[in-house]
Amino acid sequence: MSDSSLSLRRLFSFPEPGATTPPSNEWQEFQSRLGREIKAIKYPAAMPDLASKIGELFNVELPDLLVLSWKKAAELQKALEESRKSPEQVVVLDLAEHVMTNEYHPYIEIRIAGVPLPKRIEFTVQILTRLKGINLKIQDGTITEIQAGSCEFEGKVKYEDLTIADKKLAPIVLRGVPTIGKRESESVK
Amino acid sequence: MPTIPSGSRNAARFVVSPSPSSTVVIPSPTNEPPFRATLEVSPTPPVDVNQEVTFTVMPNLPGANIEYRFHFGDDKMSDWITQSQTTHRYFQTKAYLAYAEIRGPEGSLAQGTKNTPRKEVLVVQRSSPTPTSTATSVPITPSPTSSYTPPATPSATASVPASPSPYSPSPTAIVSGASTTATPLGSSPGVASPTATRSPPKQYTATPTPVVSKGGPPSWIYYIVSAGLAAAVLYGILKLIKPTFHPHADWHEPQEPPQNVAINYGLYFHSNVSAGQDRLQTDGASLILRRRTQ
Repeated sequence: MSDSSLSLRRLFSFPEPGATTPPSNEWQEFQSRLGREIKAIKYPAAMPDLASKIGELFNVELPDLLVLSWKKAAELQKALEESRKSPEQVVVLDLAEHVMTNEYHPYIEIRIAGVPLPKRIEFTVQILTRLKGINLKIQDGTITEIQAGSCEFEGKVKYEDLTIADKKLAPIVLRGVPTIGKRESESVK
Repeated sequence: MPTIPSGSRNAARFVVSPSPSSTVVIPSPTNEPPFRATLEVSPTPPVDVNQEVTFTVMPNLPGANIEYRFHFGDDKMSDWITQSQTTHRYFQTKAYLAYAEIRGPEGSLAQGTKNTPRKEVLVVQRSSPTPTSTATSVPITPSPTSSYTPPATPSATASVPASPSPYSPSPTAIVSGASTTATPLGSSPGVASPTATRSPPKQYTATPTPVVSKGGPPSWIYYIVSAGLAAAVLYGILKLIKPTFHPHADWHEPQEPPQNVAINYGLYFHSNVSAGQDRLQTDGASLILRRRTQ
C-alpha cells in the first residue's frame, strides 16, 4: 500500500500487516473480545491471525466509495449518459460543496469444516465526508478521475456495541486521484 | 432256624414278635418259634430310574410249594412264583411301597396268604442338577467423547428343578414294633404312611468358580475365554478410535485451545459496499455547478 493510499484501513488507523507499532486501545479491546467469542463458540483452536486479517476488510479506497455514491445522484447520472454519446470527449464537472453520508456493513465469515453455521463478524461503518471544490473528469459514461478538491472525513467503525475506531480527520486534498472506472479502462487496454 | 410246619392245619397260631423291625409273622405250630419274613431291596434305595431292582423275601423259606407274588407299588405285580427273588424297574421318580405276598401249601399258612411289610423304594433321577450358566456381557459403545465403560462382568444363575433329591430323602415308612400285628397292608397302625414333601424350587446364584462336571470341558474355561474375548474387543476398539483425552476439572471454564494445532478454516470477506446506504446533501443547490470540456 502506497503512502498516497486513502483506504479506510489507513484512515481508521487499523494495524497494517507486520506493523511494529502497538495497536490502539480500541483495537486491542476488540481483539480481546473477539478471542473470547471464538472460545465461547468452542472453535477447536485459536486463530492468532484473525485480527490482522480483519484489517483487510477495510482495504477499500475512499475515492471509490465516493464515486459509487456520486453515480447514484440523478444529475451526475444524466451527465454520464450524455458523455457516453461522445466517448472521445473528456468532460470536467465542477461540483458544489456537499456532504455525503454513507453506512456500510462489511463482514467476515469464518467457516470451519464440521461446524454447520459460519461465524459472522459484522461491522458497522459510518462515514461522513464534507466535499469542497470537487472537479470530476468523466469520459464515455465513466468517472475517471477526481481532478481536484478536498474532503473532510469523519468515520466510525463499530462491532456490535463496541466502537473500534472513531476518526475525524483534517481536510484531505484530492488531486488527480484515479477512480475505479479509469483503473478498469486502463487494465482493459 | 424257623421251619414251616406241615400237616398241622388247625394248630397254627400267630406269634407277635416285639422286634422293632418290619416283620411278618408266619403261622407256626404251637411251641414252634415264630417265623418272620421281610422284603429286601437291592440295591439299597434310593435307586435310579430304569434301574433294575432286585426284591428278595428274606429269609428263604424252606419247604416246597411256597409261592411268592411281588407287588412293586406302581400298580404292577408279578405272578405267583416259587422263587423268593425277582427284579423290577421303575420309570418314574417316586417313592413306591413294595411288598410280597407269600403263600404256602394249604394248611401251612393259617389264613391263606400273608404279606411282608411294605418296603419303600425311592426312585430318583441320578443325574445331578447342572446349573445352567449364562454369561451376560455389557456391550461397549465406542463414542468420540472420552468415556469409559467398565468391562463386562459375567454372572451366572443356576436353577435346580423341583425334584426329590437323593440328598434329602422323603420320609420312609417306619414300623413301630410295639403294636405290630400281622395284618394286611393299608390298615396296619404300625405302618406310618409316608408323605413325600417336596421343597419349592430354589434359586441359586453361582459365582463363576470352577465347577467339576461330568464330561465336557469345565465351565470355568468358558468364563476365562469369554473374559479374554471381551478384553480383546475392548482393546481393539480403543486402538481403533484412538480417543484423545483432555482432562479438565472445571467444566464451567472455557477449555484452553490446544497449541500448535492446525485447523482448517476459511475467512470470507464481504465489504458489502454496494449494499451501503448513501445520502448526498447539497443544501438545496445543484450538484453540478459547471461543465467543461477538455
